[in-house]
Amino acid sequence: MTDVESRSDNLASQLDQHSDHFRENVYDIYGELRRQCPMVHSEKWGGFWAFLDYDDVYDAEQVSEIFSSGAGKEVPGVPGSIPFIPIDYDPPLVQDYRKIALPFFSPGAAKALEPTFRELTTELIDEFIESGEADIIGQLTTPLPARWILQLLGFDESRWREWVEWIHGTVHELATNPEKSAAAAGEIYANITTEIAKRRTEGYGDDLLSVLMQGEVNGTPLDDVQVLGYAFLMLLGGMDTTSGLTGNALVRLEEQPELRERLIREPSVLPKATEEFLRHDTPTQGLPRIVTKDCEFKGQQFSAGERVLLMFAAANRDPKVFEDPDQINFDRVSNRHLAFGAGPHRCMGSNHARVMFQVMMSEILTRLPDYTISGEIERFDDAGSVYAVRRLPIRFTPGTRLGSGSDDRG
Amino acid sequence: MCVDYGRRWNGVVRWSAPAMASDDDEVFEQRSEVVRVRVDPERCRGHARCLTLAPEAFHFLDLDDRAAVDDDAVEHVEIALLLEAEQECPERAITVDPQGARP
Repeated sequence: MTDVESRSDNLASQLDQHSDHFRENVYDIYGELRRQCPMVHSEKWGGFWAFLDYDDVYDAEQVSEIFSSGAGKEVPGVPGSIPFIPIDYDPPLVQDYRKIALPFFSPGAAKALEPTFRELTTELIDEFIESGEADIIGQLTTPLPARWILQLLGFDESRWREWVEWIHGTVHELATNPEKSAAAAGEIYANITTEIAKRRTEGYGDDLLSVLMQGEVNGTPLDDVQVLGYAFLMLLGGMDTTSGLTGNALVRLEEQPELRERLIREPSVLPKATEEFLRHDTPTQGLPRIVTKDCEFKGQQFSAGERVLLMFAAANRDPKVFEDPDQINFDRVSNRHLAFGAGPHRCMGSNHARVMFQVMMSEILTRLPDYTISGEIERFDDAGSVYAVRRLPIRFTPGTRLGSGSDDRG
Repeated sequence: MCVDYGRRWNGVVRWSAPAMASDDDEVFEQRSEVVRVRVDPERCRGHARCLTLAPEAFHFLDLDDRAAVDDDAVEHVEIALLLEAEQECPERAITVDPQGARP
């Protein structure tokens, strides 16, 4: 074995998507591993596979009879957790359970919310526009999606900070501080349970939680644990990833001023830019599956019970599919990225994510177009689940408030 | 509108190709073509990229979580946009066949 081979073998077998090294070098790691073998096996976390190539990730998404979303797939495992619904179910159940919430997540529903998102964005920017500085993550990209998902569930949106802290604790401390993660998850379980009880005594509303509580599949109503797992997933999806995408994009616009200039000069390019940021700066690096049976997939042997990470972010940089994959190109043709996954588990919130991202970007580029990053770009320690900025201090030429708040202040 | 998924193709677009010069450069011929558009209901997973690219040509079936072709509207849509929808669909569910109507 040559030095190069042994070093690459070592890189694969020691791959740890939750490590600091991974966060700091994520795309170099994907590139080097891909050159060696696009299906790598790591010995970390009790052993798992990672698929890096576009075709492998896409195809594995389509064969849930081999790569299941059932229990035991997480890397590392989550002791005592309940299934998240519908993501932890395989077809046909995943579609049956998705159906309950689908009307809330359709492209039409997302489009109809655009004025609401814009209003809230205006309000949030008003709070810091006169000061000329902000933590754009803490003051805009986090509260917008968080407040929306709380509103959707019929929860008190003024408590978004607590919810965000619990969700971040659950997601980002899972590998590094499992006790803290479990405690955060406990808060979420307790608070959703309180909301369920409230609806049971006070009656249902038109909120998503009420709809879940009245939902049924094949004539059987969802039980409380299912409602809990469903609502939990909505919070997980809503609170982390959209902010992650926006933060990642804002960093890129600082690094490549010509991209910012183009977006300001030609706002109509924003939809295409959105897809390109999703591809190039994918927040959700990958999601796990569990192998259901001993089998061969694309020439590789797999055993029942093995865990596989489908790395969307790596697939999105596959040079066999994307020309110059490490370049941001708003004019990219055939940008079939997998930022939202593919197949039966395609991200339910994708339509809302796009609209919120576009509203935030266009408002930022209109109201604080000259923003510069004025301090350390602080990322979440654990990029293995979501690669995202935690804190992004910016400075800009102060502007004036636009919302009704400015009238109130006289 | 409702789309009959039993048919092989569920969208037909007519468009006119640019006027073509004939040999003597005097007489121009307006060539009429037909293009057929289809969303495969088995492959579509509701990414909705097509709705952004060619909103006139497609609509979304919310409860089925997938897109479908707007048979009536599609004929007014630029072929370039239809082809773009085809090439951006992550599930390769859209087929645009400019030769569709030819024998």
